[in-house]
Amino acid sequence: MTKKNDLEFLTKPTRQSKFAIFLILAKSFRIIIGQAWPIFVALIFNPKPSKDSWLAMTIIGITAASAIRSIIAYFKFYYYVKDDELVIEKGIFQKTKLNVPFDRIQTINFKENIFHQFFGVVSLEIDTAGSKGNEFEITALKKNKAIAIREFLIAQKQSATPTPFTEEGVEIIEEQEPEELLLHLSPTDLVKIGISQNHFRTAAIVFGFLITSLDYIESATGWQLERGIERLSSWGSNTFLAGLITIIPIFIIISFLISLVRTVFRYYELRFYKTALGFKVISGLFTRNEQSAHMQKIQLIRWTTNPIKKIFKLFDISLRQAASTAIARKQSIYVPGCYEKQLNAVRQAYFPEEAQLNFEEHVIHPLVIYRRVLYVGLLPAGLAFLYNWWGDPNHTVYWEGFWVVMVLFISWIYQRNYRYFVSDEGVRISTSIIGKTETLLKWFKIQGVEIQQGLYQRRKNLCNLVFHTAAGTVRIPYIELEKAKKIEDFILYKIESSDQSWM
Amino acid sequence: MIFQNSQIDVSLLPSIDDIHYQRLAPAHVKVKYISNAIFFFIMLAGIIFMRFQPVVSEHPRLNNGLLIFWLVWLLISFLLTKMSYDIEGYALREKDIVHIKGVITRKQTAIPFNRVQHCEIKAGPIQRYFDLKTLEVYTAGGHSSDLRIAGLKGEDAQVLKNFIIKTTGQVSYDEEE
Repeated sequence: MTKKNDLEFLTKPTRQSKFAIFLILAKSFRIIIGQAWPIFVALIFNPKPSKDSWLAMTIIGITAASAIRSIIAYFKFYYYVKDDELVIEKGIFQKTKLNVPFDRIQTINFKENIFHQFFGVVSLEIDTAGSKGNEFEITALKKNKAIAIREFLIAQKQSATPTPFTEEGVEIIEEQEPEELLLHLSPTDLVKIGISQNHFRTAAIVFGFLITSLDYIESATGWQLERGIERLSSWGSNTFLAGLITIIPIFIIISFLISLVRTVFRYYELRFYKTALGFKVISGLFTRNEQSAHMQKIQLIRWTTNPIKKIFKLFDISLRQAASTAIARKQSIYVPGCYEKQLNAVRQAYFPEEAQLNFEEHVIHPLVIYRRVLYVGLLPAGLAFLYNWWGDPNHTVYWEGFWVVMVLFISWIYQRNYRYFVSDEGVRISTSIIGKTETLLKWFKIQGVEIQQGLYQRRKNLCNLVFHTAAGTVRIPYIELEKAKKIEDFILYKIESSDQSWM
Repeated sequence: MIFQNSQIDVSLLPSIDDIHYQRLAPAHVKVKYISNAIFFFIMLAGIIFMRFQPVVSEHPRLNNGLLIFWLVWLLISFLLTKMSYDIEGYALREKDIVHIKGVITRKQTAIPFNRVQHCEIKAGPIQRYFDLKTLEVYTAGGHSSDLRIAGLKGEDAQVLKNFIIKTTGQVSYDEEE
């Protein structure tokens, strides 16, 4: 426990560390540069006086204004503790006063980027799930102060809510004990993770990025890219195909390098701990991120693998925590590059009875294939055909046909591989097309059960079974109505007959 | 059997099949009709306004197309309103509330009382005229799992809310003027 005099500063309104000015400034600069960089590029390559330079002037003006704004913002920002609440006062023109009762605080996270590290400060993020006014951040605090605040808040939170935390309350004191390090990513692990990323997605992002910045690059360099591309594609399909064949590998290599760099930036020196209360992850090269999850707050766990990851025997695990929807993504802890051992530790912690229980295996109905082919395959293909036929009556249907066949094939694999395993305490769902995703959900974490039936499903006595949890929705498509109703009855019985708290 | 190895007899569990759904107050259809009518009236005004704009008036086909579109949409939405009234219903059980709705996609949602975060009663101006209320039941499951039953008789809504709150011991908010 912290000594009383360490917390003296909390009783009266306190400003952040002075470095906050710089950090706020850096943040607004980053946003501006992120949005306006093509203009800067254009100015460098093409320093003709044009309307672009006016734009640049405007941007410089905005930047100056935001610099002044961040300095004022610093002087107007105070935090302190009053009664049972943490109070934050801020605002330049419109004053805001945020009161956060201790027992509403859900998580307290530290975040450091390279500037934070340089100045020896951290940013404190506090989230209050479910309640209004969600989340806020104190941009820069001296590290010892931040730690003192965190310890103080955790201690206060416990004394404020004695009832639901009794069992865990004992354990919180033990949190000071050294945590068990589950995983520490080495540079080789990082390379493995980088290799096994989804390069198609990165390629798509790079492609989209290129398309949108094409105009800027053209105006900046004077190259006529668009015409070049047009000429390339009009040279006849052979040359176009040849061009495609040379471009695609380059694309894949670029995407691969980008994925690798991203992986290193985000997961450098990743450490995954099991603490007395749950799990903790620290990672990042420039921005050190620390995230922790209390076991009770974790609503469901999900792990994925893909063919390349399978070779390395790797899994990505995500622990989904209860959170308001706006910040749900932030609240799910994501640990790439785990092996069977870490996965088992997580499963054991979330669902201790899993190994002993009897899980019954079920499949989904094959009719899901036809529906998917109809909606994802035939319908868009039909529209595309009509559109093309409008322009060219001699249009051939190769591409449309190819699309339908592909959707049919993928849907068939999807249905064939879909499994859900039902037990007395929870469900495990396994889906796989190329990669494989498994979800583990305990019944008592469910907030509401829904049975959905479309017109077609009603005729065939099928339905989708949907589980709503505080960390997102889990859905089993195309199962028999009888089965779904029985499962629903059972889940409701499970939830209603026990006092076990879902959080 | 779905659950082997279970200590309890699944066939003895209270079944969702045995539920007798309570229907909404008949005035709910009127409220829906009136709000529909207002919506389509405003839309018609827009279409008539467009008729005198050069962009539209130069294309008589577009002109009539808009009117036909309006008429079809109007008919469908009034039809769906009636149909959805016949389907929608709710059932209060000892430990949960079940709600069913949807003409095209039917959704049956069950929320156990011990997962309810809070309850709200709301009423729009047209609803107030007919003394109807909307009951909203919130869980931590986010938007998709929140229950919204529009078209309850005023006193029914209050009784329902009190029952749920009594059972859950949760906070409640009233948003009425």
